[in-house]
Amino acid sequence: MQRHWLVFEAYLVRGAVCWLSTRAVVGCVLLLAGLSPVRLSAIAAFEVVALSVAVSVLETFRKREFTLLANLAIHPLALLVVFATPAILAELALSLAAVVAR
Amino acid sequence: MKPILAADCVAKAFNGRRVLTSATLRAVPGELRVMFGRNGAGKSTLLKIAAGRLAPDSGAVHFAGRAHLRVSLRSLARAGLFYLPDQDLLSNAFTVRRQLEMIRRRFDGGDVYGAAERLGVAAQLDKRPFQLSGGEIRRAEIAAVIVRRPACLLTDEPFRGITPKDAEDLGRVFAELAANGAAVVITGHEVSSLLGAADHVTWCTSGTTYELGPPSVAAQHDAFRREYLGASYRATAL
Repeated sequence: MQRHWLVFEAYLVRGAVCWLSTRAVVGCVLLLAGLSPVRLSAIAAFEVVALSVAVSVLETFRKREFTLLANLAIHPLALLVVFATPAILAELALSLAAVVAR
Repeated sequence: MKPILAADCVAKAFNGRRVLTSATLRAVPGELRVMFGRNGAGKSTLLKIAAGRLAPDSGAVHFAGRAHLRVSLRSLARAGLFYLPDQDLLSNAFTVRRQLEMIRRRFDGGDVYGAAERLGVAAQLDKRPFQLSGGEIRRAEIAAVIVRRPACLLTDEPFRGITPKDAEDLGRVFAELAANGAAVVITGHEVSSLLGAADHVTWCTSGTTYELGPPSVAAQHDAFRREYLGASYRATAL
């Protein structure tokens, strides 16, 4: 894990930034629809996580980093997990906050 | 010596256009091999297939004594291969230092600052690649190779867009890597720099490859001279 940490740290940050952007857009759409931008159903939260992972992967494609990652012997599935981790944690934190605030 | 990497009988077509029909690439420890060929002859395609970046239509890749039916750069990289594409190895999202450090930690590689200093990019370590010139990016990428200390290096047109002086310096770096036991394969068109540094010449033409041998022998090969080097080529330095 220590060997991978510097790589994973960089991509955890990207996953977090992409989740934040995705959540902001989804939040705006929900606000416009007159719904709560914070409280989401489990399925909707899962969709937001999947969308933010997709955005992170697209961003990595756009930055043409797949040759570097392959040279670093990083498995694409590991990258998906790294991208999903901050999104899952943040969605859990938001749903917890929504429960506490209720 | 036995090759560490062998891509045999490789065929590849794009949209029905056959680029390679039966090409072979070998990388031998301690040797710097140069692959020449006209534009569109399939050099980069063969290199990408050997590096696991592209799937062949047929053919097999053997690396470190193991046959890879579905070859991927990730698995070859774990076994000691490093592939330097013709552009875009380093990401613009991170500093050069960070990317070199990623490679060092991942593979217990060499000293980052020492490699950057050797390639003359120590002052650029804390910049991102988009802040560097084309020549500096190329040297930073080759610093990444030095940090990685690969058992086998495949590099596609490493001298493209850089000054003749830089090409000479980088040629020396590749020769040093080979002298230290790495298997190095380079493609390019910089005939004098590459022939001066090479141990072996491969010619990629008409969808296949010809092993021409040492540069002094290759330079005397009639068809190679006629179809690639040109009639005016004079092998003064060989």
